[in-house]
Amino acid sequence: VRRTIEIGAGLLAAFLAHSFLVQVLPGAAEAVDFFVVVVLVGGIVAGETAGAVTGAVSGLIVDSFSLGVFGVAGIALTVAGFAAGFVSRKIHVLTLGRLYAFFFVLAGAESAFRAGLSSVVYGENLPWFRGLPLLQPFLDAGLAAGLYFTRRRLLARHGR
Amino acid sequence: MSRARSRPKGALVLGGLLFIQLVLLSLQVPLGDRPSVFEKAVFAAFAPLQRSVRAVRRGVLNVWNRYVFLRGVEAANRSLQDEVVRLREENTLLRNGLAGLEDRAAAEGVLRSLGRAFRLGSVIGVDMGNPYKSVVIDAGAAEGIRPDMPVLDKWGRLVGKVVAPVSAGEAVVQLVTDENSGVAVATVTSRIMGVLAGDGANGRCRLKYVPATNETVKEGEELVTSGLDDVFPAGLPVGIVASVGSDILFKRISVSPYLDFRDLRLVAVLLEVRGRGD
Repeated sequence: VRRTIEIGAGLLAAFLAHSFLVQVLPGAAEAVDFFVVVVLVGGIVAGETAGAVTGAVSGLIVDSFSLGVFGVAGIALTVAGFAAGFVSRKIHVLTLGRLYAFFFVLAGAESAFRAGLSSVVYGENLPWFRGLPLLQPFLDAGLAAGLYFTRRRLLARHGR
Repeated sequence: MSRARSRPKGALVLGGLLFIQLVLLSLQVPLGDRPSVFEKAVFAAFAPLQRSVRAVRRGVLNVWNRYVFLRGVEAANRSLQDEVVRLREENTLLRNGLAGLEDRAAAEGVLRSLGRAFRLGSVIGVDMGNPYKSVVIDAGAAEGIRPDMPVLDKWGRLVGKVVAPVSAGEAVVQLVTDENSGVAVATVTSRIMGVLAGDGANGRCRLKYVPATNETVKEGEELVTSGLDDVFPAGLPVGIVASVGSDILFKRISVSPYLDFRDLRLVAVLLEVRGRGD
């Protein structure tokens, strides 16, 4: 129940953070995706099933606030959440460096998968935005690693 | 044992979720551009949150500008006479209030000159996938907003049109810079007709379907709506021709829209749309 509340609060925070960012710095919203951060951390914290569900819910929110085909972001985020939970149980990702690399690979794969899926569905390439989307895996991985690491240290400090 | 069980369960959940989303994708084929009930419901549930974010941001800025900052000013000017400080504060507050009122009043004045009923709304959100596609405004069905109503900026220049979903208090506006938008336009001086669509990435537009043999369209020429699409009334300023090139059949014309993203806070929705027959 605690993890469900944590993930729910994370999704709400991602939505609010994105809404705030586009009002303050509209261009920066293309360089970071808070939903990917929550989905990846949710996957590694709560496992592949919860990760997939978190990804699906995030996708619904993203697609609802974007013109276009409903479901494109959902599929990419669902797979990313599942992969985060599944792969994190197979490999060692305990140090901050490994954690960053792990999140970077997953965030990059999610971006590439979503771009490919969009190309198939829309029949054209995604907008380039002067290359800003290329920063997404770097920033998302940094945020996700920082968030996960901080959470783990807080839990350790409180003996849980 | 439990881990062995959880793996197939996880795979089943993944498969189920992907299946549901593929069904959602396929359901949109017969729906076309219309959003599903599900999409409308999620939009209606989350749109008020964007309004809350804006209110919180405004509140924080208010606290900073009107309390924290002014406290600093008071401390720095403690040696000055109380009366001078009070008058300066009052003057600043009045100027800020007046600027806000003037902005809205100026917009209302310009838009009233169009002679059409309109409803002013503030932009509370930007498209999460591509900011050049759509924005969310804080006016909805309760104020009489419906899909296909034209949306103008505070200077009466075309911004886009309302598209579904429209909730009670919020609506989505498809911008002219969206590659899927289409506006019937004409050049002001040479009266060349064409269809304006967004380029989808750079906040610019393209004027389509002008024959390559046409030599009258020049850079710097103004575009207005022609009204031939029965969606946008004729004569609304849209943008300026930025460059003119040629392909095999049609001209390749790039257009700088008047739509300014940095100044897109207040918009007006035209409530009475009559299009060509105007």
